This record gives sequence, structure tokens and C-alpha cells, in this order.
Amino acid sequence: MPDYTLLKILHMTAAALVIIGVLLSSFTVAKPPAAARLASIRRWDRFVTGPALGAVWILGIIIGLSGNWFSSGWLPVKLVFVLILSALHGMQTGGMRRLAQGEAVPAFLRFSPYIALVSIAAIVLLASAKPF
Amino acid sequence: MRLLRIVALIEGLSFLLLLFVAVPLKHLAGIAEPVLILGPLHGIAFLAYVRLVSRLAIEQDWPRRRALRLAAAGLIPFGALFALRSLPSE
Repeated sequence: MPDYTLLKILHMTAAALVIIGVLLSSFTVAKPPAAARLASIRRWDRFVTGPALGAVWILGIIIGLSGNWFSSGWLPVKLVFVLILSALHGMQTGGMRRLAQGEAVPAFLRFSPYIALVSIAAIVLLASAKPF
Repeated sequence: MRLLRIVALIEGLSFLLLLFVAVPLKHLAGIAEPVLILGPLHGIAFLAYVRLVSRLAIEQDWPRRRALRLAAAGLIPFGALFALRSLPSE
């Protein structure tokens, strides 16, 4: 099993990239930018945020196993927020593709920034405080 | 849609193996390794499946009910594959 501290550093770096990417995409689908900017945001999403999300999933599971965290109560709750954030990112990716094709995105995606912020705050709180 | 079928197959298969092979092996024979391998694999497959359903639901303008049914089907072994049969082929 790789070094636990190294895994955590990699996990948190990937998580930081996901946070940046999801917030960027949130504001993009909530208030669509001009075509050139949309294209660069989509490139960032495809080559940085998407792979970072995959890395967060894999590294998170390895950390959970090596630290025996799966028996803790806070981890399943955190995973629910990870699932929400992952689904939100999927919706944002689909929404940005629609925007690129000149189509409108569903109105509920304007709440994206709020859903992202609440999920990120909950994940950070649960992972750092491990309250139960 | 092809990618969704592949991810759904991995998700469903890993769920079945986890429930009917790995978990009984752990509790009846004391062999924990299959759970340690299949558990994470299924977890990642489930996340990937839900993310993909969410993306396609917006991208292809699915009715909300269809998207929720497909996402919830991931909670049942092979449920996702059965739910996918209700979709148009391409």
C-alpha cells in the first residue's frame, strides 16, 4: 500500500482541482459566457476536472481502505455528498455541451453554485472533523 | 449510450459478484480479499454510472422520471441493464 501521507496529498490536490472545476462549471451553466470562453471552460472540464474527479474517487477509496475509515459513521454520509457532487458535475458537463450547440440548459441548473457550495462544505466538514 | 451500457454492465456485474460471491466468502469462509477488491470497484462503477446518467439526462433532454429511474436502478444488481432496455437503441 502506498504511503498514506502521499495518498492524502494527491487526494486533496485532486479534490482542489474538482472544487475549482465544479464551481467554474456551476457559474458557466448559471450564466453562460461567450462562445470562446465556453470552449476553453469545456476544455478545462474535459482535461482537468473530469480526470481529477476520477482520481478523487480512486484515491479516496484507497485512503478509506488503508485508514480503515469505512467502519466510521461519517464516511457514508460524506459519500452521499460525493455522489451529489459527481452527479452535479455530470449535469454541468451535459449542460455545457448543450450551450456549445446553441441550446438552452434546464432552468434548475442555475442553482448549481449553491448545490456545489453546500456539498463541498459538507465534504470538508465531515472529512476534517470526522464528527461521528 | 454505448458507454452507458458498458458502465452499467460493470456496475451490475460487480454488484452481483460482491453480493453473491465476495460477501458470503467473507462471512462464511473468512476470506476477506474479494470484498476488498470488488467493494471499491463497485463503488467507482456506481459513481461513474450515476455521473454518466446525469450527463446524458441533460445532454439528451431526457424526461426527469427516466433519469431518476435509471439512476435508482443502479441500486439493484443488474437493475441498470434492465432499465437501459427501455431506452431507444441510438
